[in-house]
Amino acid sequence: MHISDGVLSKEVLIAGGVLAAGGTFIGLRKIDMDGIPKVAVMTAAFFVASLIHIPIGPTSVHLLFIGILGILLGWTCFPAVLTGLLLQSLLFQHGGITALGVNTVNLALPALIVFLLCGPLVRSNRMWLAMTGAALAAALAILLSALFTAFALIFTGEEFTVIAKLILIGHLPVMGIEALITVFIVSLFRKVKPEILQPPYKKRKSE
Amino acid sequence: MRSRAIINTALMFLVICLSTHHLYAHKVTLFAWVENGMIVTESYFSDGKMVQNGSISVFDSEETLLVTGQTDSDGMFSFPIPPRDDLTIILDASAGHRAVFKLDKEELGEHTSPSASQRTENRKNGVSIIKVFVGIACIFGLMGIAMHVYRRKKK
Repeated sequence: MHISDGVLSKEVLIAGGVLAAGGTFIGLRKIDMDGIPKVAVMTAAFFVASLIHIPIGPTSVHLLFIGILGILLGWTCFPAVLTGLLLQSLLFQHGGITALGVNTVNLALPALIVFLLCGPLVRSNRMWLAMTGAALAAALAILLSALFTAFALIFTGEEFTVIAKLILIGHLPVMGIEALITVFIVSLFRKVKPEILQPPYKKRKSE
Repeated sequence: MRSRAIINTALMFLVICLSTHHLYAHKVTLFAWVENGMIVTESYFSDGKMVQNGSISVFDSEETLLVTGQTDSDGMFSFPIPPRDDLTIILDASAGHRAVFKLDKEELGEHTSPSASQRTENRKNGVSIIKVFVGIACIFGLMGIAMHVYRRKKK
């Protein structure tokens, strides 16, 4: 999911940059004072998660944590992912600095979609619905991210289905592991502090 | 109920921490050297997995494509030494992974093959824990700035 420098064409890089900037702008507008520490903690978790590699499967893969990131942050996942990726790129040369916009969109947009689709499930009153929503969110976010990454790469001449399949198969173990972790996290939050499952927005929607 | 949930989560994180001995930045690395009249390249992911079927392209200083090829199951690809020039070797490991290695023309004549131990050392390039902390510190620094800006805006 972390595309290196020099892979993508200028047009794709610019399109990614514009989308990422738009998402980040909306995210920053929506954020509320009390939500800032939550965004920071999730950014730190995202930043570290990518360093944890899963030694299963044919290619080299690592944790992403975008499902839980989306559920907890909503639109504010854009500034979180952008910050995390910028630091990964600067400190570890993990993902290209010019591809920052595209990589941000590839990871934050799935998180946002998952927030919109699975968020209501996770916050529902029924425990089994919440658990299903959490597992679905984790797996779906990675699936979407793989598809978006493959989509960004078709302009470099790679075949969409080939590349999407390659990324997806590689990430199947990650999907399973993250679904499990996300279910654990959501079940813990529901018992200990259910408010945390609300996005850190200015106007809080009441259930 | 609540304490059980906390213990469960703590246990799970312990399992994750124990199952990962090292932290790796996810990237590919390309390494090249001269051995027995051939240029040998080795491509691997930062967790030590070799890049299989990665495509290698070799360019001279005028950006003319000289050689292309695929890495084998051990991540290796070798080719005869081309006419003396500064070479740029590019690895495309698909899915957006790319690495570049530059070989100066001075290095082409000599036997620069690294020792086995040196190669293993190169391959296992973990992430320094200090950098991880620097990153986390930056994130919380930004949090402070954001809160400061937010407060001033409200006044």
